[in-house]
Amino acid sequence: MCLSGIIRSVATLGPHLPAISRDELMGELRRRRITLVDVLSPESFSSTHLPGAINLPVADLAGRAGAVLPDRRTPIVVYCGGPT
Amino acid sequence: MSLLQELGYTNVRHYPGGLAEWNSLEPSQGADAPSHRAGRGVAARFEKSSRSLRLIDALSDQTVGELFWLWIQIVLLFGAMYWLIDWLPGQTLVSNGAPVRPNGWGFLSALYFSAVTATSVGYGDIVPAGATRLLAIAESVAGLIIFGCVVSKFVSRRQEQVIGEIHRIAFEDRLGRVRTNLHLVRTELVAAAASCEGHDIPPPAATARLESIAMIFVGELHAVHDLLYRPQQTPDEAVLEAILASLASVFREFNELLRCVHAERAERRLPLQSSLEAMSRLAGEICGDCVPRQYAPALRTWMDQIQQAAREIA
Repeated sequence: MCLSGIIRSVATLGPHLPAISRDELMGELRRRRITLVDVLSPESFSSTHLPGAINLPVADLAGRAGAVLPDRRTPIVVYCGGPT
Repeated sequence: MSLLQELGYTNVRHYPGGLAEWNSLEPSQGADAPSHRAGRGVAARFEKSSRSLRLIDALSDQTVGELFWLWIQIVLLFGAMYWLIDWLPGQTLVSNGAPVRPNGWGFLSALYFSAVTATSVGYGDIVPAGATRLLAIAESVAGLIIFGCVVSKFVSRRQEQVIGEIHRIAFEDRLGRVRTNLHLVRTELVAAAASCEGHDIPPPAATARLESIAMIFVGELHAVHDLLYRPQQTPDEAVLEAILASLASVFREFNELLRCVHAERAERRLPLQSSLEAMSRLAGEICGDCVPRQYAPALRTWMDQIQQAAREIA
């Protein structure tokens, strides 16, 4: 998953997840239809994050996702530091 | 991040631009965008409070030069207004008891009064009368706000320099510590492997030693993970490569020691088992979706090795 993941993310955007562009994201945020998830570290989140995002570091994803995002059908957009 | 899908979330999308793309856009564009209002919960409250301060935000986004130019413009605008008001009897500026006349000298006096008011000096040689007082108050408030912004700019610039320097030192310090600790873990692993192969220590002692090494190693993996996910600072490629190389070799040694200490999995005790799980998870994340793109081609050999070793451990 490491090697192939990186090659795929360089070639396309993200390994498995459908991508969303900035404009689409802004539209969705405006209509309040999605939950924005910042998967970076809490330090990074406290210094800067996208408006309205919640912080769910990758390391805690498995442990905390259920508590933070109880509805598994809720539309989610995840992001990290930059192009991956 | 595809972990979310594995956790059962069905409607997950990925914003590939991330913070870098979002922040690369003009600050005013971002601040005015209605998306800023789309926050939820705590974040939404923060957004709301910042909305009321949008004027201050807009001012602090300006450079010092732009703020100075704005100040000059205010002085000129208000000077012109004082001069125009001089045409109205009873509302004029008063200099030494006599009203300022609406002529060329009067215009200079009005500009002078405007500058004195905007700097909030107020010599008192020219004083406003009537409606001009309101203008003077408005001008001095505007001048004070702009001056405050300029001063805060100077102060925060210095602070940002200092904080940046502190961050850099702490980051390099941490990098150095991670490298040293990885080396120590590896040395310890090699020593443990040698004594295991030579049957110098009984199996329970070897297991205890393995457990403690595993715990320290998991701590180091956490540190590497943090270093990679901190967007403000990114380590040099050479440094990162050195860290990944030693990570890969530690993983290799660890696998060998694991094979030597106990052949069958059933013997693994709980602390060791949880350390091993944490190890393999962290390795997956270190080599996962969020590693900065510029590193990917040069470092993928090491990442691949680490991934493979982590899979073997799991």
